[in-house]
Amino acid sequence: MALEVLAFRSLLRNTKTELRQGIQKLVYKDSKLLWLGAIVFHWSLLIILLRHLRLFVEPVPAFVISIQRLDGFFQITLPALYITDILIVLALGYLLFRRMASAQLRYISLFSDYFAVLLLLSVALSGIFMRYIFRVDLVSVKELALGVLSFHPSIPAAGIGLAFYVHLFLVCTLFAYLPYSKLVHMAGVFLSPTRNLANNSRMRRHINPWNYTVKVHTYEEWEDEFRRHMKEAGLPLEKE
Amino acid sequence: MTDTAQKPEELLKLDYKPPKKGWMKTPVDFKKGTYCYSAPQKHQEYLGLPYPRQWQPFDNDWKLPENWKQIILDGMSDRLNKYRSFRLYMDICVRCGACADKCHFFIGTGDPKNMPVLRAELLRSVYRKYFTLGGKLFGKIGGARELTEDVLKEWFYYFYQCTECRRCSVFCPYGIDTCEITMMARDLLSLVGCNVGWVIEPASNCFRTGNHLGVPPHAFKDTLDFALGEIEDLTGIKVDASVNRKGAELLFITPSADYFASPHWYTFLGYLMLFHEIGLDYTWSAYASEGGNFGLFHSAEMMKRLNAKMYAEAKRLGVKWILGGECGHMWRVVHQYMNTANGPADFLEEPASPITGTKFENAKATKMVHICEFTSDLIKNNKLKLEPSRNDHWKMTFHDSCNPARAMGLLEEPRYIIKNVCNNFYEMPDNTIREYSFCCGSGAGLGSDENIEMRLRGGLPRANAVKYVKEKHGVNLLTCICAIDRAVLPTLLQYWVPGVEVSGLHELVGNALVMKGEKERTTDMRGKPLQQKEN
Repeated sequence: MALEVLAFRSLLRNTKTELRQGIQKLVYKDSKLLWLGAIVFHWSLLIILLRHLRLFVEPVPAFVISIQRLDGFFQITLPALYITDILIVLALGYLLFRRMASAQLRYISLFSDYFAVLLLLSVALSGIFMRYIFRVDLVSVKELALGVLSFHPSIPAAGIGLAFYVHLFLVCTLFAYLPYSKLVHMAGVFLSPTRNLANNSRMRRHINPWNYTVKVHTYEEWEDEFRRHMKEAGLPLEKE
Repeated sequence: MTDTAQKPEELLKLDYKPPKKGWMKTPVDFKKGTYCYSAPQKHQEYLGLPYPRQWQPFDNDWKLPENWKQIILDGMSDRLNKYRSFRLYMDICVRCGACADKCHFFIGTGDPKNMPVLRAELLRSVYRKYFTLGGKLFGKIGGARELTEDVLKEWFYYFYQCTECRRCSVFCPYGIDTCEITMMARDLLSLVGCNVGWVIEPASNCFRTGNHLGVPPHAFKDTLDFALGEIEDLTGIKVDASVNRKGAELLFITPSADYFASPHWYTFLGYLMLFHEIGLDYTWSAYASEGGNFGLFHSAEMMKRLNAKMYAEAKRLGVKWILGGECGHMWRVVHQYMNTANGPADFLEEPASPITGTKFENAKATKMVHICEFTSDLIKNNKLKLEPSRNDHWKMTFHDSCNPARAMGLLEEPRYIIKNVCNNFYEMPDNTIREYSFCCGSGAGLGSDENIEMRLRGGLPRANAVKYVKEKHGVNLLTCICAIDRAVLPTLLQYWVPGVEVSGLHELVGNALVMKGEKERTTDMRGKPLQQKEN
C-alpha cells in the first residue's frame, strides 16, 4: 500500500503490446514513461505545495526552508530557480501530449480529462511567470494570506500586481473544481478493495451485512428425483 | 470445432487504431462468431429467472419488459449501495490508459471497446447520467449518456466479451477490477431476462442434477467404475472409490468435466491413483458433483445457490473437511466467496493432512484445501514415490489459470509439483505467466461454439506465448489447473500452435506415481508409449 501511494507501483509494471505482423508475434515492451510522468508530476506538486507554506505560516517552519533550499539547489538565475517548477511543467506537458498523441487515448478521453491537465498547467505557469517575470511583492502577498487565514482580510496598501490575482483565481478554480472532478482519484488508492485488503478470505471469515437466504436445491429434493436410479446403482440413500 | 473459415493470417490482420467516430455514436454489430446465443426458455424457467422468453441477440426486438429501463436503474442504485467496489470503480478512473493493451480481447480484436477502460465506460456513462450531478448537468460532454436499447445491447455484447480474468486490474494504478464491473453488468442484464445459454444451461443442470453436464447419480457411478477399470488395465491395481459415503474423513469435489471430458479424464484418473496410493479415507458425492460454478458468471445470487451444495453435503456426510480438484473459477468462488455466502462451516474441522499432519492454516476458516496444496505437501514430506522420467515424452510449459493465479496466488505449488513429476519444464515469457498470465479467452461462460471467432481472438496472446516456447524449446504439452482451460485450449492451440497438447497437472502426477504392486507400465494414461530407459 505504501509503495502504491508513494511510488505508484502498479504503473511501474506497465508494458506496451505490439503485434509484429511479419513474424506474427506479440511483443511486449517495458513502458515506464507514464509512470515517470505521473510520479514526477505528483511529487513536484507535493513539494511545491509544501513550499507555499511559507506564505501562510509565521514563523516559517524549518522543514519548509530546507525543502526550499534543496529545490533551489542549483542556484541559477535570480530568484533561484526551483527544479520542481521545471519538472512539473515538463511532466504535465508530457501527460497532455500523451493524451493527444495516442489515438487510443484520444478515443477514451473526456472533456474533463483535458480540462484537469490544462487547469493544473495554467496554475503552474501563472505561478512561474509571477515568480520569474512579472514579480509581485511577496510581503504583501503574505500579509493578504495571513489576513484571510485569521478572518481579518485586508488589501495590502502597496498593491500586489495582476499576476498574483491571475494565479489566485486559477488556484481557486482548481480548489472549487477538485471535489467534483476525477482529481479526487487519490481517495481511490486508499479505498480500492483490490489494493487495501489482504487476500485472506479462506483463513478468516468475512461477514456480508446484507447476506440473504436464497432458493437452493436440497439433498432431499435431489434424492426424491433420482431415488429409483440410485437404488439400482447401489448408491446409499437417506430414505429407502 | 475449429470450423471458422478464416486462416490465422487473416485473423491477425489487426488494426489497433480506433475509428474516427466517437464510441458513443458507434452502435454494436452482432457479427456471426463473436457472441453467444441466449438461454433456452426451459432453463430460464427452471432457475426461476425473471422474464423468461425466447429471443436472440441478433433479433431486432429483444422483447424486453415494458419497464426495463426502470428495472435496470433501480437495480443499479441497489448495487451501488451494496458494493463498495462497484461505487468506487464507477467514480475513480482517470482514463490514464494503462489497462488498454492488457486485455486479451483488445489484443486479439483491436476493438477499442475491449479496452478495459472503455468496457467500464459503457456502464460508467449511464451511471454518470442518472447518479451524478456532473453527468446530469453536462450530459455527453461530461461523459454521460442515456440508457437506451442500443446501450443495453452494447452491454450484452461487451460484458459477455470479458472473461473476468482480472489481468487489467494488475496494471491499474487504482486496482480497478473490471471483473467486478462485468459481474454487475451481467447481474443487471439478467434482471431483464438477458442471459447467455452457455451460462444458464450448465447452471440449471447443476441446480437439478448436481453438476453442469447434467450427469445423474447413477451415471456418475458408472463413470467412476469405468475409470477404475481403466486404472486396473494400466497398472494392474484394483482401486476403490466410494460415492456419497457417510463417515469418510474427506469429501473430494472437482469440476464435472474432469470425469466427463477429454483431456480432463486423465487428470481424473490421476486423482484416483493418488488417493489410492496414499490410502486416503475420502468420498465422492453425486449431489455435490460439481466444483465449478457457472452461477458466478451470472450473478452473486446464482453463485450462492449453486455453491450451497458443497457445505450442505459435507455436513450431511459428516466429513472433517473438503478437498477440491483442479479448477479455475471454482476456486474463485471457494476462496473468495464460499465462507461469506454459505458459511460459517463450524461443523467442519480445521484442515490438516491425514498423511503428513500438516495444518493448512491458510484455509482454516473456509476449510477447503486445493489439491495442489495437498499434493505438494505430500511431495515435500516424501510421501510419494515418483518416477519423473515417465513424463519424458513431454516437453511442457505451465499455464497459470487466471483465478488460481490472480485470485488465490497459487503460483508456487503447481510449479513445485511439476518440477517433481517431470524433467522437461519450460516457462513462457515473464509477462505472460504468474499474476500476469493471459486468459484462455473462453472463460466466464463464453466457451460456446457459436462464439468461436471471438474465442480464437481472445486466446491469441496465450497461444502466442505457447508458440514462443514451442519454437524455442520444442514444447509439446501445456499443463494447467483449470477445467475450462482443458476444455478450450486444445481447440485454440490446434488453431494457433498445432502440435501442442493440453493436460491437467494430476495427469502428470498419475503418470509419475509409482504405485505399490503395480505392473510395469509401457504407456502413459493416454496410451502413448513411454520413452525407453537408457541403461
